Parts: sequence; structure tokens; C-alpha cells
Amino acid sequence: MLRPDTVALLSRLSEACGLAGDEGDVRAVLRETLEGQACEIYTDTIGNLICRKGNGPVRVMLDAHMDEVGLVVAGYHDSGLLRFKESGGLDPRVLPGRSVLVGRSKISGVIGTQAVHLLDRSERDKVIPAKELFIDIGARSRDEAASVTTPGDPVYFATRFERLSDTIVKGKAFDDRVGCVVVAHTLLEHDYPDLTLFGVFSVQEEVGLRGARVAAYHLAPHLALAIDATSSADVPGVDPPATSSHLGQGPAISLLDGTIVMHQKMREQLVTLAERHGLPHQYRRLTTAGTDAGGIFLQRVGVPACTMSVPCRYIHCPASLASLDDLSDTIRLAHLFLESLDKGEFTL
Amino acid sequence: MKDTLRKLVTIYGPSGREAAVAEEITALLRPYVDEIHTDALGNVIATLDGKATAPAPFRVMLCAHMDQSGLIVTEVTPEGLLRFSVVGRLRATSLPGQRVLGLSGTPGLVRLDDGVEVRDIASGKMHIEVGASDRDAAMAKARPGDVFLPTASLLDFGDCQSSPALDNRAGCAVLVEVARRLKSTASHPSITHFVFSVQGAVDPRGAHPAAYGLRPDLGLVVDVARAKTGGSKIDLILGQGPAIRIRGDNYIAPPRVRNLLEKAAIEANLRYQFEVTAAEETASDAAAIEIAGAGTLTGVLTLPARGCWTTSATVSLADLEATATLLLTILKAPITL
Amino acid sequence: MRVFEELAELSRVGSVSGHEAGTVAVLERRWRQWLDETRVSVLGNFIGLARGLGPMPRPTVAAAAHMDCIGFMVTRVEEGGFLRIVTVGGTDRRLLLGQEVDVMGRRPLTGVVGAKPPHISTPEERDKLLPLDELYVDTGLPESEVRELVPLGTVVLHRQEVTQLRNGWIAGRYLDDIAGLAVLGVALAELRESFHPADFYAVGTVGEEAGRYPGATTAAFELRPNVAIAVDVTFGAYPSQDDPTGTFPLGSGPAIGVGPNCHPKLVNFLRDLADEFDIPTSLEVMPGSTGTDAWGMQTVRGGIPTATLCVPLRYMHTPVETLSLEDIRSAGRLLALTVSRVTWTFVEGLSCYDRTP
Repeated sequence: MLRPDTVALLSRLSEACGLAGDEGDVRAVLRETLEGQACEIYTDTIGNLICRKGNGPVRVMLDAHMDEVGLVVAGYHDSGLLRFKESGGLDPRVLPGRSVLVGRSKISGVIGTQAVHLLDRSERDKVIPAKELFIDIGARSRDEAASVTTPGDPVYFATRFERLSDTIVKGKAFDDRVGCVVVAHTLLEHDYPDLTLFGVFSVQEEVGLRGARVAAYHLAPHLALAIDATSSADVPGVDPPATSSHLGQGPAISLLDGTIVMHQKMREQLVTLAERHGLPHQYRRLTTAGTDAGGIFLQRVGVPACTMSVPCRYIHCPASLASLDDLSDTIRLAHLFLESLDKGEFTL
Repeated sequence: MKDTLRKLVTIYGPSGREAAVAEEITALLRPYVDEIHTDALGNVIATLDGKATAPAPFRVMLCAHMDQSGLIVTEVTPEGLLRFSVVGRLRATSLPGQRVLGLSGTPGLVRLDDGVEVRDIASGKMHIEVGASDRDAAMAKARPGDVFLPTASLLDFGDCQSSPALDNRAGCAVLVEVARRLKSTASHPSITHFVFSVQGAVDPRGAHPAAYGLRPDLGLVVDVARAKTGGSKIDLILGQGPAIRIRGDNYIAPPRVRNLLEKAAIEANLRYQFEVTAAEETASDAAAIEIAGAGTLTGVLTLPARGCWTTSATVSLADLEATATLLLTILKAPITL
Repeated sequence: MRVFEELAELSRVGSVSGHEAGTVAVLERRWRQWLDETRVSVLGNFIGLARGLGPMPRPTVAAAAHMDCIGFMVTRVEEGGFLRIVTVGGTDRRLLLGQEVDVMGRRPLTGVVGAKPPHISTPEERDKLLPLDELYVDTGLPESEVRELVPLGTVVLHRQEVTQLRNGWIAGRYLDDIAGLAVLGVALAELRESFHPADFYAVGTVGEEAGRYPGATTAAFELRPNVAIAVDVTFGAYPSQDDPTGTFPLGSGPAIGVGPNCHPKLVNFLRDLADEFDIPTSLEVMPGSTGTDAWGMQTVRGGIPTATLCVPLRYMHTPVETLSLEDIRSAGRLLALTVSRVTWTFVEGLSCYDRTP
């Protein structure tokens, strides 16, 4: 079971706003949460938040990314509507009919579309291309819109975090705020005397694993474990292996993806520990896409790396679902892994 | 060369699980090099010191990826069949009917799903048969995450040899041969590193940290490339010698390196060819070596392979020998770029 | 009209990715007067240093423009002496048929890109774009002579002289990214006349068009600049390409990039300077890769603060790329001002990432 304050942290992080290159809000929440917790906390040149705990001989990087997918203000229409571009791999089908928040001051806006009454037959069945959509903040002219927003301003989905049941939660940006919760929890709850643990909250993962590359270079860890969120398509009309992972079946351990074949020993150790301690666990079935591990492992002379993910439905959509049991099991497995390193039970 | 090749092709070594190949290569190479080790990612890195007494000796990094393409199991169906994804460059069209082996020698057979049209052939529409009638029976033989490899023993045609693992055990065999001959050569001024990289069957990956650590003055990659195989669009010919790659995916040969390779081929009186292609599957470790650190000039020699990236690839031992000779010609003399 | 001459000379050289030595020679000759040191890196980057006048340690600013252009290479000599080609970089296939080309063989040859003539193509064929392997280059020479003069891998370039249009606009081949080099030239000339505490590296990079930014990445690794600015081109607006979020009118000045590839403090720095000195600029919002050398430089080593400064260019990747000379001058001025204002304090401020000042 997850502690209430862990769920509260997930709630805060889910509602915090952080796009690739603009993760400040998320960084602030995490800083506040971790300050005074026996870690050295700092930000590096590209914006990664690094929390160093301990001084042991084995240097471990525990990584989660702070950025989510969303939109950016790209320009204006004379009528006062905002033009936008997508940040990260967003599915354009989820855009029409949305409530959004624009910019640092979180101005309310909506993405609307033509009334269905006015469409002809053929148009009703088509996906609306993003280029034909605008964000409406109620401005009546280009000047007015430009006076309260700037090109480059982030745009987020106005999704509130909610608990749908004892175990299932709904919110935006579970990719990868769930990972951030795992890393933060680990830093807050545990000490590993024989490790130097670098909790890395990385930036710009969604646009190319950018922050993690930089962090791995300057931290030069001996190994790295990335905690991400992964797609669960355990829904009607999808058969395995396309389902990739299942809600409620525990952390999804990656075999490989488009950027890395995961380190075999690390992967096997995660499975061994899960089995030994009776923790539910599964393999991520998808072999495409990428996670921070792909950016980390080729730095300097190489860093053994592996990814473990919390399953999430509707992952790059405004409202995702996840299981608190999965989150709790992922936290536990991450701790068991670090503990086995700390005790010298597991070496590379 | 044939013996080395025969030993190397049958070792189980898909991308990310190269340990057994690394072990065999290390054993083969040890008598000919001064130092050999495996790095954090599993790359085998060996060094033969140069005999020059110059203060800053020239360093050459030879590189061949030691992993091979394979089929990773993603799901076990209720009927006891295995679903998989291809890891690497094996063409889906060459898979139906292929016999495969899992890690502990578990046999399997690849088959197209019922009712799939020829034009729709894709790895997602195939399965591996392991002789199980339900999921439990199948799980006793194989699990998601297991990798099956096409049965790879060498088919010996005399000079030509065929095996699905020639990409890139053929390149590895060439490097082992170079080490063997170089060791007994009186003159080799440069320090020569032999790198057998990981995950290269997928993308240029393992070679990058290896090059970063070695910071060589010159990189030379040996890989396989498509030779004319019944079609008309490819120009490399099996048996006409190694190809000097002028252009490949994400790679353009620096003119100085191209000249170095050509000069050596001419000096050694070898038949050689040129390869100019933009095809995506022609990514080689060169792209990774070039950009490591402050940069390394890198050349690529390719071994013409009929049926490259299928389960029936064929190379010529004479081409492999000629490639080794070309490399030795370069290494026996001081290198100026 | 120094800028025009520089553009014309560099355009005439035409350095396809992997073959940038010709451009290096021109830059060395033209920029020597403004540089304290020049050298060529392992992969062929041109690196010119204009030493700063502040006390040591001096911050370093690098500005990179790519020397390579798109083009083709010969992959085969057919019976009859016809040449088959493959692309280098993102060439535009739609324009090839009927184009005149330079075949840079053992001696330069002229060729025409041809295919089956229209009157023997079927109506369906005539409406479709020909794939590259159905096109060929015809030099008019006999096969034996072609085989003698055109080795495999020979570079083939579009044949085009730089043309002056009205209003100080120029059209020519490979202005992507010769325009960027010209911007560096303008900045170097201005910096020679002014006090700049920081060391300034004017870098001509290799291989930008060929995919993984080998030039930019290795240059950044070698130089370890405190600030790195990529100077490139962006999409110039015209009637069938006028999306205001991604295209910019010629004459509206350089576009400053905004997004994850552009350090926010650096972006504000550029914008403030442009305002202070009345230099026209636009903002170019790029939520992902900027598609410039900045993408290759940003994640090198422990991370480098990067920004982009791009000159609007119409008809990108065609032989008739068109731009305004005034935009080049504006960009060069802004770059020079930026370099001259970089101090240690500013650089230290960059390492603390948060947007809030």
C-alpha cells in the first residue's frame, strides 16, 4: 500500500506543468519535497535536477524524466486565437474539445472545432489535423493575445488528478511523474551506505533523451536504472503482444527498445528479486520507442543500463490511468535492487 | 579463416547477449595480442602494441560488431505459439520455414500465420512453433524475452560459405585473422586495437564508447554488404574482393581514408570494388566511431554477401582473405593520412 | 558588397558533405585578416579563433555554420556512359529532371539529368515523380571517356550561378548554409573593431546535412565553449508556404530559436540585445530538434547552453535558394553584439537553468 503522502506527491506532480525545455514547475515541487533530506541538490546546465545521497564506492544513477508531452504557443491569428505546435509525441486525435492551461500563469483556454452540424458527411469521419486547430483564451485580437502570452509558452491539459478507486488513479503526465515519485520516494526513505546514489530528474526525454545523456556524462555512474511509464493497451480490441503491459501486473521490465538492448544481468536481477520477494512483475512487450536508458548507456566508456516502467493506459493523452499497486510494487522493486547492490549481493 | 568462421557462426550471440561470442573471440585472440579485456557494455577490446619508437605512435582501431540478428519472443499465445520481433536486420521475407534455436538449444520453426498474403509478410504475422499444444507447455520451453536465432551452422560450398550469422561473424573472422598475421609480422609501427562491438546489428552503438576510450587516430570497420543477388540494382559482386565503402547510411568516406584503402589494395595487388549506397540498412559502426570525442577519421571495408540480411547469406573466403591482406598492408607500414 | 562576394565565392565552390576542404580553403583565405589562429579539426571542421581581450580565464563563445551542402554522388556508370546517382543530404527529387549539373570528376564536366522522354512514357508515368534510380546524368561523352574521368563516388552538384534579384535579394545554390558562413564573416569583421572579453570561435562544421552532426558534436567536444550558437537558415515565407508559425518574411531579420534546444537565458539575451540595438528579429518556436548544429552541440560533455540564429531563406534545398543580404547583415551584427557582451557573470548565470531570473 502506498503512503498517503506518496499519493499526494503524485497528485502534485501530475498537476505540475513541465514540457521539454520548460520543466521549472516540476523541478520546484521536487526540490521542495527533497530539501533538507540529507541529499546534495543542484541543477546542471541543461536543467536536470540532481540529488546526490551517500558517498559509497558504487555510483548508481536512478533516473526519471520531468518533462511531459503537450503543446507550445507558436503564433497568433488576427482574431486573437493562438496557434500552437506539439511538444513530444502527442496523438493529434486527442486535441479537439479540450480544456488547456496556457503559460506560466496558467491562463485558461480551450481547443474547439467547428460545430458538427456544419460539417458535410465526409468531414465528420475525418481526423482534424493539428494545423486547423487553435487555442481560444477569449482574446479578441492578435495584440490582446500577444499581451498575455509569448511564442514558446507551454500549454498543458487542464486535467485534475483524481482517485477513481482504491487502486486506480487518473491524471495527466503520469509519463513520467510516476517515475519521479519512485525516485523521490527512494531518496526520502532509504539509505545505502555503500552507494553514491544519484537521483536524477532529467529534462527533455520526450524530444530525444537529451537531459539523461548530459547527466550520465558528468556523473559517470557505474550503472543506471531508469524508471519510466509504459503504455498499457490491455483494452478491448487489442491482443497480446500489442497490449504491451497490463495494469495491476506490477512493474514492466524492458527487454529492449528502439535505442538500447537492456543490460542482461541488470534485467535478470530485477526479475530474480521480484520472484524471490513475491512481487508481481511483467515484461514490457513493445520493442520500439525509447527511454533515458538509451541516452545513458553510450556515454563515455559505456554505462550498463536498464529500464523498469509503471504501466499506464492512454499514456500520451490528456488523462492517463495507473494503478497505485503497480506504483508501490515498482518502488519496492527499485529499493530491492539498490539494496542488493548496496549489500554486495549483486555486482556487474 | 574457414575454421575461425565455423567456430564463430555457431555461437549464440544476439544483440545485447554477446557474452559467449566475447568469450570465444577472447580465447582465439589471446595468443596474438598484448592485452585483451571486455568493457562495461561487453565490447571486446584487444591491443597489439606497435613496434615504432615514435613518441606519439599512431593508433588504429579495427572494429567489427559481434552480435547477430535474432528473434525476441514477446508473447506466448494460448495455443502454445510464440510471437516475436526481429532485433537487427533480418528480412522478414526470409523467415517463414526457417529453423531456429533458442539459448539452451531449444528448437523451433518459424511459420507464417494462416491466411497471410504474400504482400503482407511481416514479423508480426508470424510465429515460432516449439511443438507445444498450449501456453503452459510452451512456457516450459520458452518465455518472453528469450531470443531465437536461425540455425547457423556453416554451409560449405568450398570457397563460398553460407550462414545467417555471417553478419557480422565474417567481419569478426577477418579481424581475428589480421591479429594472427600481424603478430608474426616483423614490422607493424602502429598500435592496433581490435574491437568487437556490441549491439551493432541493430545500430551503431557499442563502438561509440569503445572509440571514446581508445581515441584512435584511424578507425577501420569491417562489415558485410549486399552483393548482387539475382536483381539488377546492386553492383557489388561476390568474389571480386572487398568493397571500399564511399557512401553508406549516415557515412561518407573521408577522401584521405578512401585513398589509403585504395592504395593498399593496389599495392597488395588485390581485386577490390567500391560501394556507393544510401540504403538505411547500411548503417555501420563507422558513424559511431567518427563522432566519439573530438572525432576520428574512419573507413569501412565491406564483404560482399549474397542474400545479405536474409537467413541464407553467402560470402567468399577469398574476399575475406583479401580483406585481411588489405588491412595488413596498411598496418605493416607507417600510416600517413 | 563584400557579403555578396563571399556568398558567390562559397557558392561556386559547393562542398558536398564529406568533401568540405574547398570551403575550408576559402574561409582560411577570406577570414585570416580577422582571426588570431586558424586550424582544421580531425574531421575537417574549420576553427578560427578571435581572441578576447579580457583577462584570463576568458569565457568562450562558439558560433557554428555548416560548410557542407546537399548534392549527389555517382554510384554507377551505365552502358553508354550514363551516370546513376544517389543523394547526399535531403535533396529535392522534384526538381531533378532536366537540370544541368556539374560532375566533379577528374576534371569538371557538365551534365544534364535525364530520363525516358515524355512521349514514350505512359500517361500514368508522366504524372508521377520519377524515383532517383530511373534518372541518370548525361555528360554527352563516350562511355570510355566517362569511365576514365568519373570514378565511383564522384560528386555531382546542381549547376547554378548566384543571381542578384531586386531589393538586395540573392538567389543561388547552397545558400543553406553559406548564408550562415557569411553571417560569421560579418560578425568577425565587426568584432575586430570592438572590445570583446570572450574568446570567439568561428566554426565551419562538416557533415550537417548528412545526419548525425559529426562536425558540430566533435567541435563542441574539442572546444568546450561556454556558449554555442548555431547559425543556419530557416524557411522564408512565400504564398504557398506562409504558415506564420514556421515561415519568416525575407527582410524581417534573423529568427531566434525558442524551445528545448535553445537555452532560455541565452534566448532572452539575444532578444534584449536585438531590442536595444533595433535589429529586426522574429521568434522561431521549435518544440523539438532545431534541425541545426545546435542539436549536436547541446548534449556534448556536461551540456552546453545553445541557441540558434537563422536567416530566412525561400526555396530551401533547391538550386535557387533566395534570401535578403540585409538579413545576413542583421544576423552578423546581432551575433557580434552577443559575443562582445558575454562575460563570466553571464556564463555562470547560464549554469543555473531555471527560467525565472
